[in-house]
Amino acid sequence: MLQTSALLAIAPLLGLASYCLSHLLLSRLVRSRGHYYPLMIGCGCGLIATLAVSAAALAFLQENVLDFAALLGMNLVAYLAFSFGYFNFINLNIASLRIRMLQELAESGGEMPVEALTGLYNTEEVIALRIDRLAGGGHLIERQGRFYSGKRQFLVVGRIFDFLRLVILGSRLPLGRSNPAPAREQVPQGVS
Amino acid sequence: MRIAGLAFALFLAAFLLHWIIWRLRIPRRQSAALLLILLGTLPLGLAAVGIVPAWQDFGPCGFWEYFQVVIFHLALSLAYVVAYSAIEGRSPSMALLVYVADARGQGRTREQLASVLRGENPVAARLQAMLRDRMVVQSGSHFVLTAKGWAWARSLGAFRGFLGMEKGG
Repeated sequence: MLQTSALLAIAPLLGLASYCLSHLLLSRLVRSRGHYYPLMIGCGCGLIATLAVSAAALAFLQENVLDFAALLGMNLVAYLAFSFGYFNFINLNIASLRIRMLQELAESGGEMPVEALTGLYNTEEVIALRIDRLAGGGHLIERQGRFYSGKRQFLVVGRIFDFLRLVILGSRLPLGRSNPAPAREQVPQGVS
Repeated sequence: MRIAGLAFALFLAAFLLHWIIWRLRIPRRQSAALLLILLGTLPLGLAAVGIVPAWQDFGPCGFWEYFQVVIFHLALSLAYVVAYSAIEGRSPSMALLVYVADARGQGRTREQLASVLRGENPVAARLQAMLRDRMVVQSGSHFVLTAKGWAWARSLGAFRGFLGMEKGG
């Protein structure tokens, strides 16, 4: 009885472990499908592991239907929250300019002249990379020199965050405004 | 139902507390304050269901029920802290998607998209964020990694190497 309760409690952690392991394996075995394919498949593996372990434990504990559904839902939500964190951790290596800069600094012994670091990143190139990445992923569609909305998943997420921003911070961002940009006087010296 | 109800109620209480505080005054160190509220609510809430007689029926029984509530609360808290950075401000990519969607079928030119991000100087913004988060310090005309910066660079770099990924950004 004790072991079954333990299994139910650690099911989201087992799911996360399955996600990490399957992602690591797939990343090394299937290199041709890009970075997000192993992440998606790995997430699915973790989800199946969480549901299977939770359902087996609940069936063994002979919970009634309501408790079964509630505890299964609880473990499912916990696993999805963990997997969201893991996805974002991996995504830092894929898309974060800040992490890229940290790694450049580390590779040069932990110290770099301001001009050398900023010289690695041309603002126009950074912008072009982001536009091309969105177009390449099908999130933007280019037709006759104009960009239109493509896949809606990220946009839906963006709208949800806009709504949460309004509810929590009570503010809207101005059109097209993303992260709070540093005011001119806050820009590090030597960076134009 | 009891454990699931308690776990959801605890996180909801933490979220409501965060929401009320943020509507009154947004803390200066938002992530740290958020973590404190979300994680601090857990022991307080668990203590409350153990102490307040009217709530004792909703409390967990035994170590593994406590563990399950703790895991649920930790998972949601960490996920919310991660998501909060996207609530604070749109990422450049998200800004572009929203900007194009707001054109309502008219589309945007590459130049219009670029101008959205150009005004923000993304490179300077990231450097400023790294200085603010004390990942780097500026020493004269040099940027120098701090211990925190080294930890992030090494841990993510090791992971990148293991996965065989090229540098991103």
